[in-house]
Amino acid sequence: MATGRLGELEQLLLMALLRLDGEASGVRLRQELQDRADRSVLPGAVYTVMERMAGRGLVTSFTADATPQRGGRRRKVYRLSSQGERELARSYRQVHRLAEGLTERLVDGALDR
Amino acid sequence: MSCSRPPAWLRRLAETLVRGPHREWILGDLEEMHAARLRNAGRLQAHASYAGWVTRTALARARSAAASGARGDLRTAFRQLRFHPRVYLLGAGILAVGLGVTTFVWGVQYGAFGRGLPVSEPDRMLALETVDRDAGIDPFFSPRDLELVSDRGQLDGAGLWGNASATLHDEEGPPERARVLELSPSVFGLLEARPAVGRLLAPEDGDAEAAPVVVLGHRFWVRRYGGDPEVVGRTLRIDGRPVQVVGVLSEGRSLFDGQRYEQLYLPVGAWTDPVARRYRMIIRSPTGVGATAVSDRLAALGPALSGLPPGAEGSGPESALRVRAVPFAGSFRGDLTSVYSRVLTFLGILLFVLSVANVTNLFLVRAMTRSREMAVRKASGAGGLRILRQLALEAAFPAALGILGGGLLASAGLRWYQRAQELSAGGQLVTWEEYRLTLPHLGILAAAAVASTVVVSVVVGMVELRRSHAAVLRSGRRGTGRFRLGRALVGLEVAAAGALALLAGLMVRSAWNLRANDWGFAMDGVTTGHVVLDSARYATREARAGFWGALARDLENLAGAESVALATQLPMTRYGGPTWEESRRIEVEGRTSLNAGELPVHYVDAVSARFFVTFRTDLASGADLLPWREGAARPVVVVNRPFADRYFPDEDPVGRRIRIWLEGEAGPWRTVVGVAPDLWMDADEDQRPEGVYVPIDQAAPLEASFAIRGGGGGMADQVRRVVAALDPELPVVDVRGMDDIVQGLTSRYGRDAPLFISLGVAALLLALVGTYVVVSYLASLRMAEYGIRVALGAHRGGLVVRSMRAAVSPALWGGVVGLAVGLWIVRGFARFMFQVDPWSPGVAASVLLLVLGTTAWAALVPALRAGRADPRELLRVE
Repeated sequence: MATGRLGELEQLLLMALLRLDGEASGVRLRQELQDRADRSVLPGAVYTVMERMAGRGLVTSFTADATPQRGGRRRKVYRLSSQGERELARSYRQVHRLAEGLTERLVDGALDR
Repeated sequence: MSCSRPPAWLRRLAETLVRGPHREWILGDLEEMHAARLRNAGRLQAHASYAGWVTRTALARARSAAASGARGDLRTAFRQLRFHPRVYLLGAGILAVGLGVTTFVWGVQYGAFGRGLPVSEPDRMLALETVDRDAGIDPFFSPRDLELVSDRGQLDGAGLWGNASATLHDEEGPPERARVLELSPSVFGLLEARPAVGRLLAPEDGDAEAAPVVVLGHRFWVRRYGGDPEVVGRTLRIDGRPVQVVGVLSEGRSLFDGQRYEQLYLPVGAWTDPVARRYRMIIRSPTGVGATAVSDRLAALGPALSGLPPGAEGSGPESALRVRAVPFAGSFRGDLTSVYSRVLTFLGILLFVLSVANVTNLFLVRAMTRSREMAVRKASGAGGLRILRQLALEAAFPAALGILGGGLLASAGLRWYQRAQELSAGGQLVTWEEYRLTLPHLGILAAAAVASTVVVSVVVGMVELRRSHAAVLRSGRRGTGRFRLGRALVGLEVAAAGALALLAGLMVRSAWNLRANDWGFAMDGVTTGHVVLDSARYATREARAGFWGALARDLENLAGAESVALATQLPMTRYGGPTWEESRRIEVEGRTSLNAGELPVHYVDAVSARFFVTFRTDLASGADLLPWREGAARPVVVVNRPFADRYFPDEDPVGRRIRIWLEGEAGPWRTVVGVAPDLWMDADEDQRPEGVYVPIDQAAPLEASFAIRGGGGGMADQVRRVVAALDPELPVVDVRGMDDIVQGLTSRYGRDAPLFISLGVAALLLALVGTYVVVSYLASLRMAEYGIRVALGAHRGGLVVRSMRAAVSPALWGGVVGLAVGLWIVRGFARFMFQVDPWSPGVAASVLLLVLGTTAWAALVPALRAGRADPRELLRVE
């Protein structure tokens, strides 16, 4: 199945999902992006992107039980599919290859400024 | 645990605002985020963060929905455009024509009458006039009045101006009669005029003891002095007095005289006797003070300006005389042009109504034919707002195209008109005349155009959406066939077209009358000109008579001259010299027994013996001009046909006697020796004035015109040589062909005829389209019915008549209303039409027939199509 290239937010969300052991709710994903990538994303945007990736087979989802913290509402939990894992790896390799040898310059240059 | 949750009202707000497919998860996440924030930061911050997340989530959702909705609507609108290009292009075309023509007409009206002077604040330029309850409006003032107004009016500036003419002598060439503008030096400043060379008039130039100075007009400077800057400082002689040139006015400016341009600018007071002469007054009001406020300030000056001493009868506060300030540009143009301006404004309005009605009808029909489509969309869950937005967007395409096309059309039209006007004015227009696209006008019209398309579509859409979609789908497109609004709009269009067609018809009639008119004299091959004697050197009657006699004799001896005439007044002209007034009181022997002051005033023209021969005018009877030819002292007179008809209706006037009174004194009894045809003694005015002709030797005027038959175009130089030989100091003025004079005088009748005729044709075409659309639509609604009728044996002719009936009654009432509106508009416009009576039944009947015929034709085409209906085909389609 042709999945197309990953967008930036897609890449970040898949990576966050991987960090969270390949399974996480929308609110955890959002929190992970906020904590690690300093990226503030609205819940609506997380679900829109995750549903799009679900449509492409990159993630799967299931509904978990309701909790009092959620006002008695259920959670939607996403899981990284093997295809999603491959796609993320491919995307990461691309970035890694492109960034090879640039680490020092990025650290000493733009990143420090 | 309830205290760890957001407040109930915030939760309700979140439930209301957060929409979309992930609503459940998002609301849960927001609560979870709130709980986390509560643990880390405290209640207030948690609530505030929650409210912020909710708001941002709702806004983000709305933005994304709007973006995807607008894209979808645009796609739908483009699809409509692709599948029904004719409807939208027709709408855009009608709008473009309507907007373009209306903006053009308003641009012409504004350019000629509304723009005002090209100064930084034209609204502050006012003209003063005194208004007397009995004597009417008097726009003339003396230098003393100017002092009073300047002292008491608290104005930013004021000045006098007036036109005159004077004889100029210099070393450049033969003497020349020049057009003079006498003005207060302040007027240059008021009108923001600049010099091209040297300087303009300074305040001290107006002092009585100042050395006389003159400023030259730019065109005059270029023509007579080749644009030589060295002319500044030279001394010219104007009416015999030495005057020094101090400067030249900048190019392209004529202060007041639009038609022929001023040539010399001289200060008021330093030139002529300021007590005897009266001038117009122009003032600049202080910032923020309008014409009414200035009028109030100057109201008390009324009696003083009239020359009445304080306390005299009529000088009190109840005085009938008052001073008022009016917008300068408007005051200068007079009643005639205001009629013209009014007609142009109404034409614009009519054309716009016509095109808007047309487009409204088109979109009305378009929206109504889509009721089924809308019902289907509504039934399949589309929101009403969405459908209306799409309808508005669809209508916006032709509106935008129409506005663009209309703007281009108007801009091109005004450019053409500007060039045409410049050509007819000999290169330059009056100072305030400028024809270009006026954006406010286009803006107003564009807004109306958008309203007529978008609003109509939306309103009809709303009406359709309110209907039950089940009922619409059940009934299909079968309608009642009434479509009242559409028919009313057709009536409105026919009315507008009728009014415009009436004006166009009257213009055609005017042009025809002008072409076919028998002027009563032959103008081809006649060269004319004017000579003004110097009152100091030709003070005696004998000196003047001697000059005219010698001039007539020498002109007759010119090679090629067949016959020569001298006259104080040529046919169709009114020079009206000061010594021989054109109007005098006339007493007819045995007919009038009135006091001298009550005698009727008629035209009196002093002419030489060969006047009637030169113009190949047949004298109706008598014509014993022998004593005239011989210059004998026997007092004779020739009367014109209107005079004979009035005073001698049933008898031959030859042999009867009349006498002419001037300033209370009776002249000798003169014997009528002939009756001349009506030679237009009141110039081109559309009336037949009574008048008489007397021998020029007996009148000995101070100025006269000559007319020479034969000799061709080279006659002008020969005449100048003859005059110079008789008196080198005398200028010859205005040498041109008689046909040129007549054409110049009658040009106003024909100048805008093509414009009005084009507008009339455009109006008829628009009405034709409107009628066609409505009749087509109504016929399409009843096609199934027609199919059944044909199947049952109905006569096809009957169906055609039935279809056309929809257009008949609106066309009838529209035609009659249009004629009434047209007649109301052309009130007072008769002076722009040659011998045309707007009330003549012939024109009205022709216009009504034309409009009804056009409407019938527009209705006939779709009606015939309905009549040819094939019942099987129709019923299958249905």
